[in-house]
Amino acid sequence: MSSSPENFDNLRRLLACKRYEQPPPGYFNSFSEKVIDRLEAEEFNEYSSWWQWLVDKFDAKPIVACLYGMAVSGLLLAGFRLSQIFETETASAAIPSGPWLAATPGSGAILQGQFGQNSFVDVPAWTVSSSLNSAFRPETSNLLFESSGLRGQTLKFGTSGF
Amino acid sequence: MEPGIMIDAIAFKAPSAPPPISIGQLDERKLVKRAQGGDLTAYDELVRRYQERIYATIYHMTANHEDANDLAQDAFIKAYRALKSFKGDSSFFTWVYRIAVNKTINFLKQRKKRAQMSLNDLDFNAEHDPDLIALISEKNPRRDLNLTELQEKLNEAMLKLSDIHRLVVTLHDVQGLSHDEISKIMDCNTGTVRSRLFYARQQLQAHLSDYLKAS
Repeated sequence: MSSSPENFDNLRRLLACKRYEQPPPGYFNSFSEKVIDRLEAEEFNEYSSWWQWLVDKFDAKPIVACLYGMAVSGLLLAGFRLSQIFETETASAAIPSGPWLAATPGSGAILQGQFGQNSFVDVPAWTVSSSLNSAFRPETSNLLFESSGLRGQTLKFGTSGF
Repeated sequence: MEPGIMIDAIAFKAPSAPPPISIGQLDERKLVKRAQGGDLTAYDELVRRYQERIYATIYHMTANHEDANDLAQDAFIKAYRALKSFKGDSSFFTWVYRIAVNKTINFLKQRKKRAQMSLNDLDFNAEHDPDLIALISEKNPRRDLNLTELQEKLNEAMLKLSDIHRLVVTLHDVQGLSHDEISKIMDCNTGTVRSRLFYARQQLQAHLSDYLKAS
């Protein structure tokens, strides 16, 4: 086989004739229209979804996305904190006198008296404020297990063994 | 008519605004700027300017009109979507060419079955091309070979090349791009383009040796 420049020239001339291979007549008259139509259709479809729109906006503006994220985080934290405060206030208003009873705030002392325990004792409000008091007050917690003969026992943990 | 009236009319004529520049007269940079701002009319003009060359390159790579049509459209759509990332380091033409070439090579990798060239698309004017007539009547030892057969042999030889080598031959010998332009499109240096071109030509020469021998 020869690779002489003359033969490459022939090859190049032959290859140049491939330029005559053309699409059907009039093909390019509508080509750009098809491209633009597709672009417009895709844009319409994309923005029909508000979520897609939001993502696109954030994609283009990362600072806005960051600010938005911070705002959402702040709202969540504020909501969590408010819920904690609300829970504390609600708990302070609750009556944990008997383990199975609920009562309106302020009637705790009287209801306790109905069961014969701590009757008419002027109990400070904070002592009855927590729903966990019944678990930590021995005299109250024992009531839970007396009927079945079980007794609560205080456990102590230490590091003396180490 | 009195001459004084005519002079007055000219003197008080409002200064005419410069004629509006049609979008076809804008240079590529301005069109790109407008298209980046979402002006589809400007992008339509860009598509019109390069559609034939982009289509032809893809067509010579895929050897199929329908595939070339789909890929060329996809390339322009992808280019529009990515237009905001276009910084203007290269020309828009080179940039969109690169998108089209990458898309075509990916497509060819996925497509195992290679379609035959559609010879019906051969332009009528080819029969009158002096170079082709000379090749058939003078240089070709098989003088009875007609145009269609020669084209068929050439296309068969092209399809035997690897995608990269066929691309280099298409861009240089069919499309007429320079080594420098091809190196930018293919993201390699001009030396690589030259060596690939030489190898591709050698391969084609070997496949077409019966038809390209000097008389």
